[in-house]
Amino acid sequence: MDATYAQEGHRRPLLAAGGIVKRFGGTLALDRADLACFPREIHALHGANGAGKSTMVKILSGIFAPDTGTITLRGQPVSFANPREAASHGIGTVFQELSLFAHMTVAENVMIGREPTGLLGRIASGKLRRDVQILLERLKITHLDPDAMVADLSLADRQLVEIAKALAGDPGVLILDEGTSALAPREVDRLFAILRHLRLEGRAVIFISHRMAEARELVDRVTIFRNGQSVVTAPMQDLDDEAIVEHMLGRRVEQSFERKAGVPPSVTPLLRARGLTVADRIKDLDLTLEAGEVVGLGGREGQGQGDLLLALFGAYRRLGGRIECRGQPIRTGTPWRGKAAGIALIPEDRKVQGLLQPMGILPNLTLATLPRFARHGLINRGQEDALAGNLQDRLAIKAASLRLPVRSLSGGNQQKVVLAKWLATGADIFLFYDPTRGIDVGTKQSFYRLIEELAATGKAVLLYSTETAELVGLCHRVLVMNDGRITAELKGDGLSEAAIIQAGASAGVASPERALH
Amino acid sequence: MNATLQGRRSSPALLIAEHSVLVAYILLLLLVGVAIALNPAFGSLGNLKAQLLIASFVGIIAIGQTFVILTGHIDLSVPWNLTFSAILAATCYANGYGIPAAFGLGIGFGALVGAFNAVGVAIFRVHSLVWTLATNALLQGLALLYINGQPPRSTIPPFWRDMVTGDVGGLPMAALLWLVLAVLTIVVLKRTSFGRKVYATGTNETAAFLSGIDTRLVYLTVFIISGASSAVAGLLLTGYASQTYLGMGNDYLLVPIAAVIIGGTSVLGGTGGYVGSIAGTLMVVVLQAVLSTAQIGQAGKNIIFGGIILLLVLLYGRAARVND
Repeated sequence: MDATYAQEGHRRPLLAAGGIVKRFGGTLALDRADLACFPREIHALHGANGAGKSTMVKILSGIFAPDTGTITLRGQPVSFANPREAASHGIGTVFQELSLFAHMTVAENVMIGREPTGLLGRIASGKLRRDVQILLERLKITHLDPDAMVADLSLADRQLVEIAKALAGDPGVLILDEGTSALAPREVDRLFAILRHLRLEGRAVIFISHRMAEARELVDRVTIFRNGQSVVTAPMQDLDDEAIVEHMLGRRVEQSFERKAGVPPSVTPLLRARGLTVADRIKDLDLTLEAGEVVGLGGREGQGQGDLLLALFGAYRRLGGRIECRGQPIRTGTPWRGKAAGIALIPEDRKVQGLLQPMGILPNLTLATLPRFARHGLINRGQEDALAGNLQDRLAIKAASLRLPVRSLSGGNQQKVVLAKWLATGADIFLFYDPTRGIDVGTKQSFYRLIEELAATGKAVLLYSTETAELVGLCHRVLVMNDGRITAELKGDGLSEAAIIQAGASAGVASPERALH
Repeated sequence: MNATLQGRRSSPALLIAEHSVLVAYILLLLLVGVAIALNPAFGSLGNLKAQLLIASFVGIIAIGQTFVILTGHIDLSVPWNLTFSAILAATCYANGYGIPAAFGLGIGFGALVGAFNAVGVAIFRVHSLVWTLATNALLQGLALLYINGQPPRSTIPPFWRDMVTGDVGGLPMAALLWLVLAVLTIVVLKRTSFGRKVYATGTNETAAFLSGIDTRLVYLTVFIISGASSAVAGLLLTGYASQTYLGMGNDYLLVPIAAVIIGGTSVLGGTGGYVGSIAGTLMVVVLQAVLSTAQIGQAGKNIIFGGIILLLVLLYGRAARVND
């Protein structure tokens, strides 16, 4: 098997996608994007969030069909109706979201769907176990017991199982969408060793990683996506980190926003967290928010930003460390205590966490302030209508009637309802989780103005955004998170999109273990 | 809610689901018509009063079930909570304590069982389907232990019976109590912040929680209401039958749940209300009377009730999917 891949030579791409267009409703996810990889090549795919990387991976692995464009495998045009077909053509994919069965063993997971069978279709568990043992040894993943339950494994080991599973079909191309994974440096080394080994066997690897600096030593060529287009493909050594970031952002990294003067630290900040710890997701984290300050949270997705916001709000019952509001320690663990302390959360998923979709706009607007206009528990409808009407005017919520269900509103107006609900509480600490995701440009601008207004009126804002431009444009300072910790604080002249991306991507490089390489 | 209908293609199934309360009342009228056609005596004042009395027991239990079902849960501990509460109250009275103490004990015990249910659902996060079913079995065992193999002591005084069946302004006392509790329930659900929290929790527990609503307190309250309303029904039934007996709650599990669902409250929680449950209650009671008149036995009754619930759950479930 190995020999056949090796003989293909370097002339013809092993797998190539050309002119791929993919539309989801109104958004163009891929716009004539190209990607080609050769045998014996580790090919990195870079791009900002939403550039179309994952969509391309899903097209190459048969999950989506492209609207137009061609896919060729060893020069032959192919089309995949489903992931099984892609796999049978020798394309193995490891997705961002792990897809293992927690209550099955490593061996069972690796061989799922291709179990060796004996008489009457009975699974030959002995052979299954041996096959997996051989595969794991070949991949030098010797510390994994084929009989171990996946539920008992660490996240990093689960990812290795996922890779072994993708390789069980002996694919010519391995696509690895590392995405949000949080591997420790040692585990990264192990992963890289496996990928080098696959290259040696003559296979191609398409590798999506945000670990730009770490991957440098590993990667042969790189393709950069921006807004659904492939903007450059080049040998890795031809592009330095700055050039990669520039290609990702599509411009020379300039200061297009008015630089915000910092807010000086005070003795009693509006919010102070010390030693905040949530299971293994937030690790001994310190944070202060001053009145009038907009603090950004940056970093790759899934580095604990969401957990931090939920923890500050009080949604986690088990919490290490302490949180102080205006110098007073507050008991956390329940959102109603957070609410009473003046903390508001605009959560990640407005459909599931923010709104009561089938209920009317009015009860959604007033949900967090019911006691305000309820006497002896009895709701004063006149007052409720007045409050809701005020909020609608203040945020310019476009709705024919507040009796309509909230799900009849556009995404931007739904998000306004979530924000309005919290403005009504008179909160002075606002936690935003990516508030402008999936919202049209006009409404985005009105959100930016609202956030600036909040700060101007002496409130504190903690803003997590996947759009670095937002962070640079709105925040006085930006905290970059990696693996549950704040690893960089950027402010003043040091605050730029490039700095945020580099700080998010290069964490771990500084650690001594990595320096050995 | 009517506004949701605009701009959407309406299938008959959707129309029924959207206007479930109205449909329930129309069906009720039709059913009463059928009952009178089958047996003109059904329309007599005496019979209507008798039916209303039976409806009171079902309707009061349906109060608790409406609250619980609106939060997306269910209370399956009604039969033995009702029975045990009634036995405790009757024994308390037989031991020389007065009616207030006896009733207080019965209702207090019912509420306590409700609180126990809420602990399982809200703190241990066990689904109510499982937890309350186990509670019911537990209560059955405890009740049997408590009476120690003897039939429960029942020296029910005539005035206990009068408090249930006695006539006030042409209505049986129990029906009057139901009326008062029904109005209270409707006001609480539609006009109070607690009612709003019940709907919010049933619609989307996560969003309610993250809006600063103490959803555990909501669960605790609705299950206590359900426990207490089971106990009240138990006390009324005790007066009505002038005795307590094992199995007195057996008919009061499925029938009130059927009443709530027929009345248009979604088993998934979040939509519906007690106005519909009243129609549902009257319907199931009239339906039972019709089936008895038509000489359909217990087996037939069960099949018809089960079938109606399945039909409505399918209908409303489909509407919910179409809406999304």
